[in-house]
Amino acid sequence: MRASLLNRVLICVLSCIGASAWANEAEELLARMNQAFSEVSYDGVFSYYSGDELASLRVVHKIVDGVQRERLVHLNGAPREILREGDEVACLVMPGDDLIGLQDSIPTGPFARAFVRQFDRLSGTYEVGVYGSGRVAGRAAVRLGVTPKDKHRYGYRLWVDQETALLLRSELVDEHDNKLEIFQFNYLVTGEGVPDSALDAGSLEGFEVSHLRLAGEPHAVSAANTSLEEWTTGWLPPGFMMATSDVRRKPGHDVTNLVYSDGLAAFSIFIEPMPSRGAASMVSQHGATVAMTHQIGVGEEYHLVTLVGEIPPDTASEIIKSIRRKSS
Amino acid sequence: MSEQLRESMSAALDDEADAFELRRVIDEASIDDELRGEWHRMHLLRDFLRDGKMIYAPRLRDGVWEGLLSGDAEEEEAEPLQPILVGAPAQRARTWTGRITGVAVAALVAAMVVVGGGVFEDEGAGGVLDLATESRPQNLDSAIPVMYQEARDEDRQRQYGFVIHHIQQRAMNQAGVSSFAKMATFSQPSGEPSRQNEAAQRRAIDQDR
Repeated sequence: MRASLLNRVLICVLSCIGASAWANEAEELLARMNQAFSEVSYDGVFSYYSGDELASLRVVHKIVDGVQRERLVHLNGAPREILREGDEVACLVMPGDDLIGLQDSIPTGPFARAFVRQFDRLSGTYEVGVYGSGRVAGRAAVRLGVTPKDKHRYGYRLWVDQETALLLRSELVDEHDNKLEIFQFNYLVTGEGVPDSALDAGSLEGFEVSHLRLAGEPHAVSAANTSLEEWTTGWLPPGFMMATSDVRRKPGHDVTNLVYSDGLAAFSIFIEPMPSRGAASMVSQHGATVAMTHQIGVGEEYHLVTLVGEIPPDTASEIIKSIRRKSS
Repeated sequence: MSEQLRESMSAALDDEADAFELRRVIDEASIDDELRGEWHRMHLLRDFLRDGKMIYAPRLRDGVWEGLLSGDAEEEEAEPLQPILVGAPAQRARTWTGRITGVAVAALVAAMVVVGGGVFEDEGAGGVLDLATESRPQNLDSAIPVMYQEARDEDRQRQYGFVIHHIQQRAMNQAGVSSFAKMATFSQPSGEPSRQNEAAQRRAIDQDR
């Protein structure tokens, strides 16, 4: 009896060690993948499927004389290119293209961002593990699973390049294993195989070129504005914390913008006064991104709350219903 | 109310009614209070059965497309709209029933993104919401704001603006190439109005059922 108990304890300890090693290997690979985005030179063509849209883009990334350079080329539809050299970004679009409007909000950092922002927060809400090997874009890959521990967030399946740790394919999946978004390299050259000339823009004929400089952090909250203090969520899924909060100007009124993240998934909440002409409650979905608009009444005042995020609709609904004004 | 009319209403509720059935329901509902009441109850029941006051619009992009089609008077009328008070259950946003006009989609997206420049003033917005064309009856006399049963163009545009802002933030703060890809491709209009697209949406709607 005693021996049996000891055996059980031993098995338990051994399996814990095993699981821990398994998780460590996966987490190490995730960390390497995170670095690879900005450190590896690559030139590839990838497909991106989200909702009912399928896009094809070419991305080139290389560090030349210590300066990060990137080039993103749309291969379908209207020709577009985005070039970055250090902090300088140039958008090349055909006249009338809608992308030009996005220039004011081009990412303030490298396009090739880290996949995971805060590793230390992942383990509480996700299981990370290695699930064998695979092949993407003709390259050998290690398969990683980032599986949520509850129903309040989506999971990821990742194919990471064995040689460079670059992300070759990712699937964003819901709890029923439905793929909501897929990103996949179809062709990829890395390292010395990427010539500097791959960073040169294509033919400039007919293009409009807009230049901009990458700015610092998003707009800070003005000290005089206290409306940020007024709103809070009564319920948040485990692991989610406020990442940023600020107040934005819309014509005629302010919009409070709160952003929450669990280190991987994120959602934004926008709170504004109820338009005098009324508003509809509505829910829409684009790939993994759900958008939900609802109104909340505080006394005789009504506010319109919109939640947008890569979280399951049921979770979004729970959160939005819990939003309330703090009692002063 | 005849059984046939009830069937037509049920079909209209599920977006399965043909043009003739739809017309008949609209015509009858416009003169018959009881029928309108029944229509409303059927909506409530359907939403209740679907367990949720929140029923999902099929696709966000469809919502934008839908907004563009609001000029089609028949479609507008096809959805009798009655403002209801805040706190009443949310109704399902209208599902896709119209034709896709790629040029119009491009025009709207261009208007939102190029003219507007962003969602907020500090992004060079300047009246994105004002671009909304008014197509729904307004209840300006109401003492408190009303919540509409169906999303109007301005509701869709407001939400769409927030979605773009969120995706931009996400690309800035997190994620990898894939997140940026979403930002870079999100507002990309779908070139040609394609039948494939329409078929895909039909399938999506069918799957929702």
